[in-house]
Amino acid sequence: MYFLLYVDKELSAEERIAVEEFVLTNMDLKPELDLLLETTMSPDEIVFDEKAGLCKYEITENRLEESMLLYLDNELDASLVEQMDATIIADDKLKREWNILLHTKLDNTEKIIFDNKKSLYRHKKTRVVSMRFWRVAVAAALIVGGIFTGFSIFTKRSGKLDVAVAGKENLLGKKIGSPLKTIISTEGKTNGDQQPAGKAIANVKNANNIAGKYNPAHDAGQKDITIQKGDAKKELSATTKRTQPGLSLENINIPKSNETVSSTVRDDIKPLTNKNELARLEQKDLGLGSLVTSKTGLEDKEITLSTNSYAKNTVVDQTATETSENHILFINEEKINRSKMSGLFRKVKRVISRNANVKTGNSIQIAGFEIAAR
Amino acid sequence: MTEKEYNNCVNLYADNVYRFILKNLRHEEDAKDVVQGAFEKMWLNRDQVDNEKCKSYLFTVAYNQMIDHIRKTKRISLKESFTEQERGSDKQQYNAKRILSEALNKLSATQKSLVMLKDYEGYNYAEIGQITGLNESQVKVYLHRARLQLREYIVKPENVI
Repeated sequence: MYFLLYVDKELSAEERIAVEEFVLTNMDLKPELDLLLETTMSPDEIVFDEKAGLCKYEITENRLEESMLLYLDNELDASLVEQMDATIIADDKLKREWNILLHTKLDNTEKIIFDNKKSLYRHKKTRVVSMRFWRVAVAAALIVGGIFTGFSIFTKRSGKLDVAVAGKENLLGKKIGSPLKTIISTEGKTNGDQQPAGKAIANVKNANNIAGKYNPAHDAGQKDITIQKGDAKKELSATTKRTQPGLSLENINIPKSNETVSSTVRDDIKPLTNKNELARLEQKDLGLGSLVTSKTGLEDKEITLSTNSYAKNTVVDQTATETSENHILFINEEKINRSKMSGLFRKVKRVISRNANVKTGNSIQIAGFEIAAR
Repeated sequence: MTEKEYNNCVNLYADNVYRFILKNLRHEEDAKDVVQGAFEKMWLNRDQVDNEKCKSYLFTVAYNQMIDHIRKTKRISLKESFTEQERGSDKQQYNAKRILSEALNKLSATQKSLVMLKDYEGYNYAEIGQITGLNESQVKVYLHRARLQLREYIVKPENVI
């Protein structure tokens, strides 16, 4: 009972001392007293930090000066501003005091310019790699050398033979079918009156259609010459022999249609204008760029291989075996002058050659144009 | 704070800081040195400085450097007139400014700084306390004392406007 009163601090000082002495003499009771003491709670220190918001401020006579200073500093509570204004206006003495206080306020429109702002600006340092003169010179030399090498390779390739005659097997096997390639295939039908080849049909085909349209099982009498435009160097260079003579004109079939196929061969070769010469060509192997004008049995049908820009860009090639019946004439399309003017000239030339109805042997050749002499 | 924000801060607040320091030190070269030092420190600590608080940071640094400078050199000397800006055409206005300037120079460095931060920059008591390292109550008391001292000076008979 005394322990509880002790814990609740309800005992007098003498009684508390008596209790403490009793516990000291009877130590077995001390744990019980300590246990009771632990059951008491001590107050926590919790601070309400918004007391200032709860305080009320009133403008009183003894606080007028402070209120005016707060008003001057714009620190006066908004709810008191009107009251302060009214108080100042109502009292002349306060009004005078207020005017004096207003003069203690500094003019914030006063400008003092710091005239060295450039020294304050900062910029992050970025790494700049300097390039010395010799490095620039080496770089320029490499670029020039690369351009020169590329140009020389390009010109060297352009000088190679561009006309190839390849065998039929070669054509099928390698699938020469670039869209840029055009194959002019002359399918001949044997005509006893004319060349052994007889009639010829000139067909201009897209190379893409070759594989599909070409029939390897074509009749033995037919002889094909295929003229292919385009750069087929990659596909053909390994398998074809360039500038091999041996283009047998018995393989050339006279075109059946009225279409005139003009191709070009080298300038230094004279035009062949009749079938006899064609026959002669059969015996003599044709070199690169032979100029051939082949006339069919029909008067208005002819194949004219005249001198023009194709000649320089055409390669006659033949397959490995001269006995092969199929030949391809490749024309390097890149080298062909494809300008608008040359196209116009070609058209004009075709029209003239058609209208002039050129007859072999009686033609007049002016500036690459051949006009038949009637 | 980015480089752009820093340079923008230079454009916005360099004049204000310079005015604040110059009015306190009354020595142009020293004031420029303090401004340079303040901006240099802000540049070095730009990663820790929030762009929205750059002005406060700048004034804090400038104020501390100014106090250090005053302690080191103790080179404060009265200067009757700062610049020709004070030579206004209106004589009465000129007299008012001159008298107020004289009164301001009678204040302690802390009081002067408090008045200028309040009137020039428009900071409230709490912000001034952050800049100067004082608590809000101290700012309030010091500032009120400064005001009353200024008032006493300008109402003297020889200074009556």
